[in-house]
Amino acid sequence: MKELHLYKFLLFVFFISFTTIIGQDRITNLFSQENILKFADHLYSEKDYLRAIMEYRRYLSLNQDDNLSLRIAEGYLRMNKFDESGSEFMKLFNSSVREEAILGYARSQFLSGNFKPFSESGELSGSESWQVLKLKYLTYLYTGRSLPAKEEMLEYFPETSRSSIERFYERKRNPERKSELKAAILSAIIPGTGKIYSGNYGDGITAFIVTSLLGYITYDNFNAGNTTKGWIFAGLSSIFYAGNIYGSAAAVQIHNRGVELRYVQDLDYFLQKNNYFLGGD
Amino acid sequence: MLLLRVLLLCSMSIVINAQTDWEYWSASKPSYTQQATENPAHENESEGITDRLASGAKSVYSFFISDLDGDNCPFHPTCSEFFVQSARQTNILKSVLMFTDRFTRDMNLGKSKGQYLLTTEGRFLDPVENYLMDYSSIHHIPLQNE
Repeated sequence: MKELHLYKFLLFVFFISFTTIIGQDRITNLFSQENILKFADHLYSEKDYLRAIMEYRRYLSLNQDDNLSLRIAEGYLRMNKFDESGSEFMKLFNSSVREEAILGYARSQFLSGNFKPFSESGELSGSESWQVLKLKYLTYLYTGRSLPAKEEMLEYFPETSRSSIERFYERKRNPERKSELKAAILSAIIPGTGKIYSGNYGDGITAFIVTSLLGYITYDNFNAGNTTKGWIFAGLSSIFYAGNIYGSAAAVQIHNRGVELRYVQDLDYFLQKNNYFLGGD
Repeated sequence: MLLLRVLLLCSMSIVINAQTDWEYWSASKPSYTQQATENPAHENESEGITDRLASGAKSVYSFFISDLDGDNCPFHPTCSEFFVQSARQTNILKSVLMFTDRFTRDMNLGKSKGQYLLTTEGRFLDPVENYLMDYSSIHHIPLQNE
């Protein structure tokens, strides 16, 4: 009986040793350069960009491959790590993948909202790439720079989207902004009209009724010889009158801010929907 | 059976110690220092004349209006709180103008969701920052095109 146990034990030890040796062999193969690259590609296709980048770096520590360096930069971009992505793309400006690196850099800067490289003195000003120029023209829709000619801009975009781009162009050129001064003056002449001008009709009518009512009570009290009450209501009317002028200017400012934020929101949505006109996923 | 239990225990500890998938794994560096908090007892000592006037006016407003009207202000912050906050952020003259404007808007029976954002309590979000006449401080406005 004891011998049977011993045999079982020896068989177990043999089995463990065998599997360990096989496994060890496989582990050694796993860290070959070819397998590191395969593993990195697998991670990248699984969208595990962070670990894919680590594996690509491991591979690149022994080899030189501009396409893999480009993949690292692209991986950072896909993780929305724009600073890292930008600097990785910049490193490749003098490599065999220069054109792709410039476009990648342009994409990273555009998506991060840094439009400086697209300006006259920026790093991308000299690029003649169709895609980079397309992004450059789109930056005009975001920044306060003077817009280029409409036709010149539209020719970079597909015909199906030109009407939408044109609408954004017009919204940028002629935003539905209103004048704060005009609102204040209107409310100073007729209380509440500044609010109506800003689009807040209910507030405007209420302001007109309140100020008129207070004015009438003031007049009525003075007329009736109640000077103390008259002065109290005169003070109140003046405060509400001035408050309405201030409020009208503030309402227009809120309206203008709304126009700006709504424009950016719509433009962001439109460009995201069309993948910034860069094609691919 | 024992082996199965050990394996199960090991896998559980792996799950418990799992780290985030979107950044490099590293040892965390917890901070044990306690954040200094403002002591409300000392807050009043540094109150300026504007704050005192605003607090006084708020008390008067509460006595004559809020206490009688109840918790019915449709706005957030409430009108009295709006006044105190505006006095703190601007000066007494500007805060009075801001308050009278708010009070007038409060009297408007046709206030709508299109004009203000709604808080989780269903009140109209109308922060002081929107009325400071500082363009960059305006953030809380409804953006949906109607």
